Amino acid sequence: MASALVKRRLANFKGNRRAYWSLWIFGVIFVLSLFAEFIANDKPILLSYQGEWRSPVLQFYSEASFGGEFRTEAEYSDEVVQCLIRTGGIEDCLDDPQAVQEEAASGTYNGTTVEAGWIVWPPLPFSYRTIDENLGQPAPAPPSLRHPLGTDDQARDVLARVIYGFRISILFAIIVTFCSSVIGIAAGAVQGYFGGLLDLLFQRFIEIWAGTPSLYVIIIIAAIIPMNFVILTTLIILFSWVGLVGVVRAEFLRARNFEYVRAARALGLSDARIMYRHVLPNAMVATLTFMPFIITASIGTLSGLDFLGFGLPASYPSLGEIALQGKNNVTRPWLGFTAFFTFAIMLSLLVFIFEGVRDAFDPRKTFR
Amino acid sequence: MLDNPQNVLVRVDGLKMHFPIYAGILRRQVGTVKAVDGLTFEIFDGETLGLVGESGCGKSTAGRAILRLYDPTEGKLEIEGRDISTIKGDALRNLRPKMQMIFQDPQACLNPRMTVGSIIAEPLDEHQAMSKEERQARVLELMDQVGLNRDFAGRYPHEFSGGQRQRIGIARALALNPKFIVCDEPIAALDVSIQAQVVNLLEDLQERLGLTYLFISHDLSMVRHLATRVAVMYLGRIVELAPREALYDRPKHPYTEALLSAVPNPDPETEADRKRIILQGDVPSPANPPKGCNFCTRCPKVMDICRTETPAFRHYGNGHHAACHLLEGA
Repeated sequence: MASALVKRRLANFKGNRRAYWSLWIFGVIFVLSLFAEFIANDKPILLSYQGEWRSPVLQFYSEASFGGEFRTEAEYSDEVVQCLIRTGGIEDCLDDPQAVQEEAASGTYNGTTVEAGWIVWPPLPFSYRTIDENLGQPAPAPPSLRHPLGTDDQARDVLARVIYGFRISILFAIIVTFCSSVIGIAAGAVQGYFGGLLDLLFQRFIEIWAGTPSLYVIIIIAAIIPMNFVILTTLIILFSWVGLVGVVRAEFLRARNFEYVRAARALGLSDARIMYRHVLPNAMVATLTFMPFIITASIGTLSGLDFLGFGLPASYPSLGEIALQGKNNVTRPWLGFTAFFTFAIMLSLLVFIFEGVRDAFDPRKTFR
Repeated sequence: MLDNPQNVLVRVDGLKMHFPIYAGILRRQVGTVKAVDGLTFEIFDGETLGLVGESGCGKSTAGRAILRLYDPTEGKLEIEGRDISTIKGDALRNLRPKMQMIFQDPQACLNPRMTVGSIIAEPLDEHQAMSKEERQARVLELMDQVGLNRDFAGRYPHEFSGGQRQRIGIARALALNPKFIVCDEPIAALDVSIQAQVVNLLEDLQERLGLTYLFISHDLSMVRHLATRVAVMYLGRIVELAPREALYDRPKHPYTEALLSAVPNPDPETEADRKRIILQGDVPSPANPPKGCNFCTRCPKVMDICRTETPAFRHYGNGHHAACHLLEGA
């Protein structure tokens, strides 16, 4: 029954070309980044060893299982391991992989037939933490065929870091936005709907809470306990939910005296139901107006903390860290430019999308 | 009422609804708006009690307070002998199916985001455990009852005319089989041509379903057409309450006289002779009502006692009640 409204909103959204294409571009990039392990990784997607297919991206294989010496995970970028896989585990690979591979290419080695294997690499054979030991020049290295966006000062591929960093930023933003919206809407709804003393006390609490310098609190906590993704997300949600309370509360204060809300009360509907069915839809436009700000702000906060070195631990891929490297290596412009364009494109796409969503939800556009 | 054997459905006793006024930095209470200031009356089973009065006299507030949409400041409310003046929360919610309301503005009282079908089904969802099919059947039945085309169930309120919207509101109020319905100026927002349709529908439903109405209106002719008894309100109090014919033919209170003299007469000959009683001045503020009789500032027959003592609301025979010092001596 509500599908007519949903259809009209969809049509409105599609009518906004910029938002529509931004959503597509963003969607494709985001879905691709969800499969970052298959796009940028130092482990092969698929390989054949002695006729057996293995997928190191998904599963652990020790070097010993390829006929090598160590029981630790195979170093697939190492020529010895590559030789072992391609030749089906000839032991001489451990001494002179190049020569063995050349001889085995003919089909036989030392008179015996070689069980030839193959390796399928991801398009970018580096993960975000892979240190390229065969760089051949001092890091940070400029963009080249091997590293399309160059490397950072620890010889890690910048493109790989951007892909993983993009993913973690967006996931972070989605989690933070979702959680803080739910908390913020619930808090604003309760205050606005019931009003009175509850509203008064809650507002004072929120004023104090919002006045807390969240960045310092996070930095202090980061100094006490080792930071990780979960703790950081929780901390930022704790400080970002207040953003929505004001608008939602205002909408509820306005809408609670609407004639149809009174009518619903006269029908004996429960408060929760009235809030959800009759009042909340009025607050949706205001909420959606704020959504892009929350998303961009949470991405900004995360990057800012990373930039300052108080955010996620150094082992995480982070866009803020690329920005920091860009600042530390001003003579290596690809670092700074990469950080800048990644942020600019990502945030612009998000803002364009939400602009379209907001317009689509605008009742004046929908009901006319 | 001794001369009336009917059952009392709703009893209102000394109902007061005061709204506080706050001012200053400390939001101290500096006064009260006495919107409803001591109403006492009964509504009999199956009758229509008309409640008339000029704008701002507290008619709607009274209607809402009787339905407990407000918490009354003082007084007792009874429906079917049960005291409802102080109950709260779920107990109150469970009583809602008995008493319903039809609102003044049919545009505003329907959620623009819900279809007609879901608007009418909403009270059923809340109060009755029904299967989806049963509910749908009941919704269509209600739409038939109020004269709405069944095919409109999937449409939104803005696609309807004012009269049709009021029918939706009526269908929603009827959904739970209420006994008592407060009609808060249900025809004020409608075209004159539509008013008759809606009023006839209300009459029709009353006959078929045995409903009891409290019909709030400022349209004296419409109340005359519809009501069994009529109560006249002025500044938060009832000044006169009487059976319809008695009130329209032999008004006792000077305010009722003035009010009735303002009703135009459709017959041009008698209309030419109609003498209007023009009241002087404005209605006093309900935040600061005059001492004594509320009407003393504008009454053409004011006496000294009116300015000092509040007249009591008394029974003068044949169900005719009034509150006026003029009648006390007589």
